[in-house]
Amino acid sequence: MAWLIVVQMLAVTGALAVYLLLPKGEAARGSPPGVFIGLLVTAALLGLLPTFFGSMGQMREAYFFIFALTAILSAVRVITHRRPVYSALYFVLTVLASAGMLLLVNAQFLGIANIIIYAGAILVTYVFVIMLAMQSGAPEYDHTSREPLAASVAGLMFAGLVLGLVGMDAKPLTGNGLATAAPAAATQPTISATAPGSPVPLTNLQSVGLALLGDYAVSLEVAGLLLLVAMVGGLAIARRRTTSDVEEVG
Amino acid sequence: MNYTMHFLAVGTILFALGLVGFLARRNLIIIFLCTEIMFQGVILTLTGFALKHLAPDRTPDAGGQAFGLFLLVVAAAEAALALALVVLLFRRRGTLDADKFAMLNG
Repeated sequence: MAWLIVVQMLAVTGALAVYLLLPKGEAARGSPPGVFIGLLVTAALLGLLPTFFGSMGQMREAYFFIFALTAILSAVRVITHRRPVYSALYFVLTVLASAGMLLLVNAQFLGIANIIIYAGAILVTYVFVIMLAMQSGAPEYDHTSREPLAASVAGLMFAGLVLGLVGMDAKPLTGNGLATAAPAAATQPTISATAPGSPVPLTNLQSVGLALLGDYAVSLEVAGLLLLVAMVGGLAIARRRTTSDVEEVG
Repeated sequence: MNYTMHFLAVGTILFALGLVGFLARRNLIIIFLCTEIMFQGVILTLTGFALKHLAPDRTPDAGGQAFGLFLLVVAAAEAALALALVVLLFRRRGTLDADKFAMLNG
């Protein structure tokens, strides 16, 4: 009974937010009270979402669907937006949604490392280069695409092929029966291991750390070497003096 | 409730979207941003497989996530070098239009 009242109040405030956000005449779009109330209502709805579902599994499904939808829509906006800075910002949203999906299955290290490295380092570099190289406003090569029909057909064929093949038979992917022999591990969507000889299960960070330094130590060293080579190569590229083909460069 | 198929589906869709953007856009920086979208899709796919994969002693394997971390390293290195090259090309031609760099087409 209390939930009914809460839901109706949320619906009324949501309607108020939408009314404030709708453009009315030549006033400034996106009036701040409307945006604020809209964000508040969205946050309240997402926070109350767990109570609508009976079990943890259903809530996980709902959150996964929200994150997946956000990631896909943001990726669509990345590739279709006319202004490159907005593309980069929508890509940050994609990275956050992908990190949310990773957090849902207890892959915390990969999710947070994704946010730190992608949204925190790579995207910042992209925004810097965009601001450096695109100082002259909206150029015409952002407003047209080359062969949009062919590109969309190529993407459609790829997605259709792979999704069709992937969903065709849902048998376990390991061939020697390990997945069927451990049903308890297969029903729980978490990624963690038990340290040998200890009854306490490891956290995700600990198991990833053990794997990195134990099984994949050589790969770790090679990754460090790759970073060093990339750093030296970037410096060498950036220091090169070019003879410019145009008189004045922006 | 196993999430492998969910992760594979979302990862494939993100990869396909990155592919479409890579083929269709003309701005060099946005082309490389679309390769980063493809990397995100691959990270999700790897995590989906890591959910299913078991180590020989039947504990869940952390190899998929280690692979994802190496993928982040490679993505960072590739982004840095690609942007350095883009800046160099911009200094040379004054434009970021991919169609203006079509000299290899004979």
